[in-house]
Amino acid sequence: MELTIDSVTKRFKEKVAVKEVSLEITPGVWGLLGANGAGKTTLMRMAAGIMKPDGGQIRCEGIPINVLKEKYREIFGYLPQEFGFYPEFTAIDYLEYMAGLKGLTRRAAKVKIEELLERFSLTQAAKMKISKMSGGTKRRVGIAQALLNDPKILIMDEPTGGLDPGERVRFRNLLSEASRDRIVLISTHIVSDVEYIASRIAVMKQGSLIALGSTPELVQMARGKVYTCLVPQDKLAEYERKLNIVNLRNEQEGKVSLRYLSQSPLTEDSQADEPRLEDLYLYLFPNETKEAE
Amino acid sequence: MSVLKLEYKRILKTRSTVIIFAAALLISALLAYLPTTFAYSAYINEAGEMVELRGLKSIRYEQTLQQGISARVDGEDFRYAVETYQACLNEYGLENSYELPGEVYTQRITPVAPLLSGLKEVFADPTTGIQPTVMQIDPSLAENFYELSKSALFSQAQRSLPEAALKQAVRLYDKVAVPFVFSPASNPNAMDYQVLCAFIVMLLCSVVVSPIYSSNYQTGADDILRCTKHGRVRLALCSAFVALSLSAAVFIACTGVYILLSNSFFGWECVKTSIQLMYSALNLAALDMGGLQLTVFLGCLLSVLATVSFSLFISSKVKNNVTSLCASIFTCLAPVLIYLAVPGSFGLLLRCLVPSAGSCLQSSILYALTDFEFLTFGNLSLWSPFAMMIFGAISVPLFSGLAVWGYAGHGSK
Ligand SMILES: Nc1ncnc2c1ncn2[C@@H]1O[C@H](COP(=O)(O)OP(=O)(O)OP(=O)(O)O)[C@@H](O)[C@H]1O
Ligand SMILES: [Mg+2]
Repeated sequence: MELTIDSVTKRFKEKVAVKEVSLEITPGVWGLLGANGAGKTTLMRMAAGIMKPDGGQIRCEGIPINVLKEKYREIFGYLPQEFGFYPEFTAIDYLEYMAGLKGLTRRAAKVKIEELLERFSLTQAAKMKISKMSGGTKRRVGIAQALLNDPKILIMDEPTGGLDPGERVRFRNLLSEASRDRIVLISTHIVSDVEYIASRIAVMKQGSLIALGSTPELVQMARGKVYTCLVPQDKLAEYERKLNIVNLRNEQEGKVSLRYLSQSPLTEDSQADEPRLEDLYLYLFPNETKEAE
Repeated sequence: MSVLKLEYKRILKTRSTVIIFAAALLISALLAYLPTTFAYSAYINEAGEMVELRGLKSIRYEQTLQQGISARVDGEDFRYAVETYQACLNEYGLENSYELPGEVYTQRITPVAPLLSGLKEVFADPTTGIQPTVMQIDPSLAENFYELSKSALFSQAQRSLPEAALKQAVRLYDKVAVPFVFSPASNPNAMDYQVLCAFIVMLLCSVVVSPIYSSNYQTGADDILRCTKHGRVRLALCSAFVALSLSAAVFIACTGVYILLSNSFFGWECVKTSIQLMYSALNLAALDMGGLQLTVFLGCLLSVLATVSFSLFISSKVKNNVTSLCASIFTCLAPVLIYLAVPGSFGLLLRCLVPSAGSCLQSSILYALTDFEFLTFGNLSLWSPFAMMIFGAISVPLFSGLAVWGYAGHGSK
C-alpha cells in the first residue's frame, strides 16, 4: 500500500494554502505537524478526494484517486477536523448509517459497531444523541466511524482534539496497534501525540513541507540548539525577554531553571541539553511559542 | 445494508418530519369539513316557524329540494328553471332573486339554482358577451340550451382567443358530454379546498425536503459522507428518491383523506355532476366532478413532485438550510406572485412553467381547468392545464436529476 502525494498545490484566491507538497506515504503512523494555518487540513482534504488540487496529483498504488473513485473510497477512512453529523442521530444510529454507506453488510456492521463502541468506551453513550455529547465523546464517535470499514488508508485531522489525557494515551496505543498494515496519517499541533508512535513525521509551514523524518532524525536537527541554565527568580522577566524559552521550572533558593533555544549558549553557566521533538517544533515555529502547548 | 432503507430510517426518525406529516393529515381532514359549514338554508315549517339550517343538515335538506332536476338535465329542465324563476319573481314583483326572503329563495329558487348561471352565459350577446338577467330570457328558447351552448362557446372563443386556440377550444368543447348530469346538492366549493389542501401539503413537503442536501453542507457531515463508498451518487439518488416517494405518499394520503371525507359530506352521488353545471356552462373539460377531483389530484401530485424536485435541486446548490428553505417556499408562492405581477401571455407561460403551478391556489390546475387560457406559439396553441401537466412531468426528472448531479459533484472544484 502506498499513497503518493505528488507536488500538490492548492490556492484560495491569492493565498497558497499548500505549496508543491510531495510525500510517499507507506504503512505505519505518519504525523503531520504544523502550526495553525500551515495547510494540514487542506492537504488532507485533497488526499480524501473532497477537494481537487490546483496542481499535482494524489495516487494510490500509482493510480490517481480521481480515477479510482469508489475503489479508493472503499479502503479509505476519514475524520475531518470539524466533525459534522445529523443532529437527530444517536451514536449507534450514526454508526449504522455510516456502515451502510461504507457498504458493510448488516451482520458485519453489527459486529464491527459493537467492537468499536467497546474499544472507544462508547457503550454507555451508544443510545445518546450525538448533539448532546461532550466534545471528547463526539470525537471518539468520529474516530470509530472512520474505522468502520477497516480502512487501508486512514486520515484523521486532529483526532486528539478534545480528548482527555487518559483517552489520548489509549488512542495512541490503539493507533500504533492498528497501523501495522495500513497507512495512518494524523495531523496535530500537539507534539506528544505523534512523538512516540509515528514512524515518520512531516512538518508543514506556510503550505510547504519543511522537514520529514523519524522522530530521532528530526530531533537531530535541534541538536546543539537546546540549553539549560539557572537564573535568580528576580531576573526572570529580563531573561524571558532575551531568550527563546521552551520551559521553566522553579528550583530551590529562589532560582529558576530555564530551557531555551538558541544557536549558541547565551549565559555563562548554560549547558547543552538533549533535544526533544517539541524543541524542534518550537525551533521551527518560533512565533507560535505562545500558542503551542 | 441498503442505503435506501437507511435513508428512509434517517428521515422518518427526524421528529419534526413526523410531526409535519401528521399535521398535514389533520389539516386535510379539517379542510374537508370546512366547506360544509358554509351551507345554509331556511324554510317555514308546518307550525309556521322559520327553520334555519346550517352545515351538513342544510346539505341534506338541499338534496331533497333539488330532487326535481332530473339526473340528465335536458332542454325541458332548463325551460322549467327559467319559468320557475320568472314566476317567483313576478309574484313578489321583484327584479333580483337576492331581494327575496331567505326562506322563499330556499323553497323556490334553490331547486333550480344550479341551472341558472349557465343559462345566462348561453344567452349572452354574441358580440359583446354581455349576459342577460334570467328575467330577460325567453323560456321557450331555453329548451334549445345545448344547441345554443355550442354557438355561445364559438362566440366567446372568437372574442377572446387567437385563431389556433379557437379551433382547439371548439374541438375540446365538442367532447363535452351532453346532456349534462346533475346530482342534488352538488357544490363546487369543496374543490377549492382540495387545492388548498394540496398547496399546504406542497409547502410542508418543501419544508421537509429543503434541507436534505444543504444540511449536509451546513453541518459538515458532507465531508465524511463524501469519503464513503456509496456517499456520492448512490446517496444522492437515494435521498432524492426518499424525498419524492415520501412526498408522494403524504400527498396521496392527505388528498385521499380529503376526497373521502368531502364526498361523504356532500354525497358520493355528486361525483357524477357535470362540471359545466358547477362552473361555466362553456367549460372546456369533458369531466364530471369526480373526474375533476381526480384530474386536480393528478395535476397537484405532479406539481408537488416537481416542486419537491426543484427544492432538492436548490438544496444541492446552496450552503445552508435557511437559504434553501426560503428558496423552496418562494417557489411554492411564485405562481401567485407572477399572477399579480406579470400580466398577459408571458405571465401565463411563466405560471405554467413554475414547478409549483398546479397546486398554487389561484394559479392552480383547478383554475386552469375551469378557465379559458391558452398558451400560443405562432400556429400552435396549448390549453393551460395541459401545459401545466406537461411542464410538471418534465420538471420532476429534470430537477431531481440536476439535484443528484449537483450533490454528487459538489465541492469538486
Ligand atoms: N475554503 C477556504 N477558503 C479560503 N482559504 C482557505 C480555505 N481553507 C483554508 N484556507 C486557508 O488556507 C490556509 C491553510 O489552512 P488549513 O486549514 O489547511 O490549515 P491547518 O494547518 O489545518 O490549520 P489548523 O491547525 O488551524 O487546523 C489558511 O491560511 C486558511 O486560511
Ligand atoms: Mg486544520
